[in-house]
Amino acid sequence: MMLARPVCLDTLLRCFVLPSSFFRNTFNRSSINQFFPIVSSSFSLGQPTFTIPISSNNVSTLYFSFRSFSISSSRSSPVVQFKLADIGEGIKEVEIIEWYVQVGDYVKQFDKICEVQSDKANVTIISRYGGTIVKLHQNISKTAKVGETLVDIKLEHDLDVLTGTKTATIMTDDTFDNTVYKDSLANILVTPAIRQMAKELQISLSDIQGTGKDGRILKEDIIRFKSVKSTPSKFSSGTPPPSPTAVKQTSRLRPTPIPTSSSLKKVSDHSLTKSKNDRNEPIQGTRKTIIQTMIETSSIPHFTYCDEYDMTQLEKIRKQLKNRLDNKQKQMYSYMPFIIKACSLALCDYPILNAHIDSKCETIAYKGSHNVGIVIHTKHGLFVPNIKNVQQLSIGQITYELNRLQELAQNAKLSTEDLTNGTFSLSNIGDIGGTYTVPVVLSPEVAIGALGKIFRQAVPDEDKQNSNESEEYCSSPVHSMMSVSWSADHRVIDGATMARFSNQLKFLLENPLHTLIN
Amino acid sequence: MKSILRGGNRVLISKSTNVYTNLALERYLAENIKHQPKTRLLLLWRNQPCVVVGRYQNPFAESDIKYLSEKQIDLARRYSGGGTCYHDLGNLNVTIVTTREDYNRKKNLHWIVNTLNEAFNLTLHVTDRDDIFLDTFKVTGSASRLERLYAYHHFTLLINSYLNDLRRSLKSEDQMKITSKATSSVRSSVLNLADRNNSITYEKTIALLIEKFFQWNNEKTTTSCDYIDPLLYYEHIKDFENELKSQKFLYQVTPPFVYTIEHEKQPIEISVSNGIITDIKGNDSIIDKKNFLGQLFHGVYHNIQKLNKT
Repeated sequence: MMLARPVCLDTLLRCFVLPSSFFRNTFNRSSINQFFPIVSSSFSLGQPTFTIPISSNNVSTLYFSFRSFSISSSRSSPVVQFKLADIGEGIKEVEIIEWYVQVGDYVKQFDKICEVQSDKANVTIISRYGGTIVKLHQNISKTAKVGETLVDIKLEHDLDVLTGTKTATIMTDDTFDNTVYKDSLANILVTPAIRQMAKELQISLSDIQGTGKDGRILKEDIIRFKSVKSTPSKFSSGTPPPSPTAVKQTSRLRPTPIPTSSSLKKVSDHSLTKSKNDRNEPIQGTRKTIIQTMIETSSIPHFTYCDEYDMTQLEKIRKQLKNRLDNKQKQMYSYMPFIIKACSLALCDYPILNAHIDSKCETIAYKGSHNVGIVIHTKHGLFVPNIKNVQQLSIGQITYELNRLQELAQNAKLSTEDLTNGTFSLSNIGDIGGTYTVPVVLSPEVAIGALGKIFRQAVPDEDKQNSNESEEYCSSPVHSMMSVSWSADHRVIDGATMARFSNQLKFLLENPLHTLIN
Repeated sequence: MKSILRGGNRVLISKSTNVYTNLALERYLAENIKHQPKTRLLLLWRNQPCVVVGRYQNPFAESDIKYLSEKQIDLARRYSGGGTCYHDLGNLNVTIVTTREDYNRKKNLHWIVNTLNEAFNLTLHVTDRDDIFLDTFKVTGSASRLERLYAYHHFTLLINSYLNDLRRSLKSEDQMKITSKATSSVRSSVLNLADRNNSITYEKTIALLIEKFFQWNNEKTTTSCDYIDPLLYYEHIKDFENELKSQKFLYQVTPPFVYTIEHEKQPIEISVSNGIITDIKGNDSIIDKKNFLGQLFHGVYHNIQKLNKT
């Protein structure tokens, strides 16, 4: 089962890297496969293995020639320690049986590093990184413990963030990664000169549709791609009410204002004058993780409960605070800290909403601390860091934390700590626009709320209902109403619980003094 | 051809009884089948009399090489690790292939134990070392191989094997002479299932396993069960088969070792690496090193034996 938080971490790290180094990485991989088909096949799984003795006087020519072709980056690349990851079955240590690499060898991601044996199970350890082997830390026939370093690898670029963790994991979800990569790489036919050109222009070859023989990418294709790229064409996010809440979106989606009719017109005009080429984009990295999460989340039966909260009182308080504190502090008091605190108070009465459920649905883990996750949209992607122990924090402290997390998120500097162990989530879709939505629960949590925008609405005053019978003379006070959508895991949460929680929260927000008192 | 590589819960029974062919087939299927998560492939096979050593073992330390060649018992090395076993037609080989994530040796063994105990009224149990014992006798030896995309666990099942031949083949006098870091087998007393319940036969066992396998994997029918003739796929498995048969793989892949003999009452240490004699330590006058240095150990093994104790 994939937890949402580690996915977020991947999202964080991959999004951080994608804009700057992604294209370069793609280029390098494809060039390697093109230039060294023979060598790369010798590292494939299908080939017979043979012992490579440690003794230095046995240097096979294969490795020697490989070394002379190595593409090591000239800028200083970090050396990463590749550790032995948990193999499973409670195995704590293994015997190193065979090395498949030597110092100085160039390895690609997924190449075999060594073979280990533990009580009759032989495991092939594969590389998580691409780079040059700098040092072998273990000896044949010696035992290595899980967590110990196997080899030092000097990375070919500083892309260690791309792979997330620094331990050697037997890739699981990345099998999908590999096949997609292979397909996209296998389709790229291009001469070295064109490859160089693409590199200089910072174009990813997988983005280009080749028009030459067998789909070969020609010089004209690159030139055409470049000119198409330079004209603004990213209006593709035009899906109506996006269900952005909670689960991640593509990094390219910026929080855009709701397109007005005039801007929509511009779109259509634009598309008439300029014909666009079809474009295939292999699904990689962030998007793949999102897809995976989405698939898994879809197996959770959701229900949604919506309501409207009267924020008028809260609005008044906010204005007061803002006027008072603007001089002293720079912090903007938004509604969120209030709402977060109120949620925590309400969760005290409905602790089942602050629980985790495991994938097999065998245990409900009631969590003591209210770690409220907040969905933050940034140019790097969508993150859900959480504020820890909200039940112990004052609204001021919550505000501080919120601002801290937001700043870190904007710079893609959120830590694992911030992104994990959330127990309850909130998404503010109101600042983009929109009222009701069906948010998706972030597994293993069981509930999530989406706060819509606050809109002014004439609300008939219930007290005066009887006294004022004349319809012409109906003056209803205008209140600020916020639409709220709650989704919960219907396997453990029933509608009544959610409804009562919502009512409790509603009370706390409509009567903010109660929230502030606590 | 394509249908043989489809994933899902399946049973394949090999028609061949050639150990090299079967090992090659096992590897070919494991590497090429599109394994689906939460499904298993069951391979059932048996071989003509042969001895199969583990990937990182020393065949000289594990079996009586001379006896094997005299009786024309094949010697093979498999791709997975672990110890040595003797196969003949009374010994059933079972391989369970899954995705890497679904690998679970204990589950497989418990399934077998439960199935056999229930059907044949036995008292088998699984040990810590992932063997299956009947009281104090071993009836199953396991080994596994975990690769990036797949993992397999295979084990033998002694149904009605010729145990005398087994003992004789696996007896090695060289065991004491060899010092090495190779995996050494842990020997145990063995027993046939048929000795405990004489209604058990090979045919009955495979029929039982096939039926229970599909139940275990929640399949309604047993239609995904096929006999497979590896000869039909010769083109695909021949590389593996040739490798398995090669002298290189059989002997030269052995981890480095030192073979000590006594010649004219003095010890002589022969260092072997990659199957080649790299060094001989001993009194220079008694042994003519030229004949041996740089030679393939298994090639001159016979001569070395002659020197020993003379």
